[in-house]
Amino acid sequence: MTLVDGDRTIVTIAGYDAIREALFDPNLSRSFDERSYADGNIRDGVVSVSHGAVHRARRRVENAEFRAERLRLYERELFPTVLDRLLGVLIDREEVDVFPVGELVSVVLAARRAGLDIDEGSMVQLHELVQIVDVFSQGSAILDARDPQAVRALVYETYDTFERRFVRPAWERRAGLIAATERGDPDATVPHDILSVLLLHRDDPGLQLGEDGRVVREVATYLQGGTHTSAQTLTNAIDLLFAEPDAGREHLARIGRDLAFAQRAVHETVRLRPTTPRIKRRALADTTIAGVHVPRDALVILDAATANRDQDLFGADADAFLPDRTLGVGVARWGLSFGGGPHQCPGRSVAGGFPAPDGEPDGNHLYGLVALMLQGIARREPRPAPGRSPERDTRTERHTRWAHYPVRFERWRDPA
Amino acid sequence: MIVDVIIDPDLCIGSGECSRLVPEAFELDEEAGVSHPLPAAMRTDPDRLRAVAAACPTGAISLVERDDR
Repeated sequence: MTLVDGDRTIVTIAGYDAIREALFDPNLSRSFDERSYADGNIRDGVVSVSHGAVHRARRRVENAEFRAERLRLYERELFPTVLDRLLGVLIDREEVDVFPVGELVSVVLAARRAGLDIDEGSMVQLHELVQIVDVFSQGSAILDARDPQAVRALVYETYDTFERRFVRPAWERRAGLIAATERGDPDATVPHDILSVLLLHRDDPGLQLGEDGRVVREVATYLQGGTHTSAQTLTNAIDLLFAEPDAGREHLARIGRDLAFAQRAVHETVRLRPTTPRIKRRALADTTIAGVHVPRDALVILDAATANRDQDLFGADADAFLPDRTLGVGVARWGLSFGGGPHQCPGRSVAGGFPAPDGEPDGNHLYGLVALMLQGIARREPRPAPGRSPERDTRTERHTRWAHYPVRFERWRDPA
Repeated sequence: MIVDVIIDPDLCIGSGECSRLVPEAFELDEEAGVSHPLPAAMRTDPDRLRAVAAACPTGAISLVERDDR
């Protein structure tokens, strides 16, 4: 569908294959705002809005932090300990708001991957980081914000705090370690994280990281992406499970004992409740998507939320939450929710693991951190909190974002 | 049938999907951040290669099928 709004053309694409075609089209960019950071573009220079050669160069160095062996270390060794400890601390009474629980658990590993040296035992510091993430999350959805000017001002202020409190100390430590390794110091080891790879490759002009602020914003992007979306997905999973009380209870019990089912429940959640329901692109040049002419400078809206419910691909019951659904070859359980093409979400495998092979997953299978979180929650037997309604995040038009989700835990003292 | 596997180094972003899915046919050059096909790729089941090409997030993998007679 093509609309002309003033001097701008808006092309909306809802078909599954057409959206995939658009995601691969090099003429469609995620860059909407050509201004520099100093002029008001709060996401200036970050990987998620860069395009073409710069984007590819950035992804090539950053993707090293998303390899299976790195994810295995996080999922098998680091996260279970963090999850156990924090769920025990945060679910310390019968009724708890589960959205901030998801954020506080997720932010620990997101900070580690981004390259921040936080005190993981300090709840004060974790809360401080989550507050920062909340602001960056508003910034990441600024195209859907109800008050973009207020969001812009808040993000500016928060970048300063974030840089001073978290990035600079981590930067100085890594710069020291990089210098030591270059001197041949056998005791120096540079951590595996985004900040480190940016500093190691900063001299490469192809990465366009000369300005310090770009490094800060890039680290912020990974911190935000690794925290907020995981917490929202966890909350959406619980909301979908609560929507059908009887089936939901059965599903929760199964999630508690079967991690592969928990992973499928997460994928089904992501399909029905995509973090970005309407993916946006800008046409850098005239192009054609599935036979539809897209003129230069058009805003292209890819309606992933609708495509993810395509009955030809997901069945006549595509609107239902059915983690065991059977799909055709080549159809991802999560639909288009992680995007595709060069901008495919780098955190897809972190949050959602890898697609489960036919039959039983083998010992190397990765289920994703959200499945582990959901299982930890399910073992505490969550139920809707009587008399208290969940609250959506009304600062954005994205219907899949929550602000608060009160839950009553039947087994908060002794998880199954 | 023999399948020639080509990876466009300008498109590859080093996601590592190919070497994860079919490690005997693809190798990721960590230094360059891009993948390249291994000699064994041409002896790999074409269906697996097609699945890998479809899974590549940038469409950097192309397959050229030819008769081996």
